[in-house]
Amino acid sequence: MWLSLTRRAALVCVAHLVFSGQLSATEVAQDTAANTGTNHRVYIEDMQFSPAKLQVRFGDTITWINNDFIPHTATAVDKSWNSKNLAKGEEFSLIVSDNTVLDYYCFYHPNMIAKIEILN
Amino acid sequence: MKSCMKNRIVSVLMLTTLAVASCAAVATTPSELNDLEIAHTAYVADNIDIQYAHLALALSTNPDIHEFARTMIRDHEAVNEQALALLEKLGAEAQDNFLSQKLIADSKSIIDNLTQLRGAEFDKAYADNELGYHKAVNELVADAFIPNIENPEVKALFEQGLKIFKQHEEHAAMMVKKLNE
Repeated sequence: MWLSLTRRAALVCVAHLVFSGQLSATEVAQDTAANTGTNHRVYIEDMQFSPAKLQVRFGDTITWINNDFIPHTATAVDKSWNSKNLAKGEEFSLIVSDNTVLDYYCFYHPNMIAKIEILN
Repeated sequence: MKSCMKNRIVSVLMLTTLAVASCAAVATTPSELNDLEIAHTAYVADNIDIQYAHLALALSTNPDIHEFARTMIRDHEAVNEQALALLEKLGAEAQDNFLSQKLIADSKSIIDNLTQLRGAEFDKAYADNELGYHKAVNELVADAFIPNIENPEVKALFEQGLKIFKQHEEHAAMMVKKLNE
């Protein structure tokens, strides 16, 4: 339980720092590398998340990068995590924990849906 | 004398050529529009949808309608920004045409009708109009514009735009379905 709360807190904290620009995606990647997690990239382009289904392990980092010229978000279906507005070229990262909600979508374009799958 | 006659013939030929070109340039169907006329029509179509969205933000209290309207403003402004940047890069100016004028005339009567409505009646009419408008514009872009655009950069922008507008059409269909439940 304590570990679970810590992971959730870390996820929220890292996501916030990356979004607010206080921590770069590179710093997150280096931090995660120290924790032996793998870094994954999801590109938002042509009105799709690519890949739309991403397989990860707990502790891995996912970075979303918006390549479209219109803004998008990557938002959990229950809004427990949210990139908020991503303009072209902007990124958002989060570390996957056992509390991470796996189905997500673009809040602006609700037909853009995707999911994270946890590998055993 | 001979030279004077030759100059007159050249002048007449030039005027005839310009007249023919001018007649050929007046498009009467969407597929006859040139790239600059197509760009103008798309810019006008984007601005009309932005106007509808501002109306929805002013008249509706439904949060789903507000979110959709904000997305329309955000996306259509971004598309228009790209279009203007491309025209500037190409050193060209969009050209007014019959279809731009028809879209503006049609939008005036639609806005007149929408402004008479309130509450659920407005929401339904706005959502229905968004679905119909995006469907019609998407067909126009796919069937009449993209196949006839000559400049590859303009064509690429329209192909990107179509992907965005197809999402809008699906989003509008979702909204219509939800309002009818």
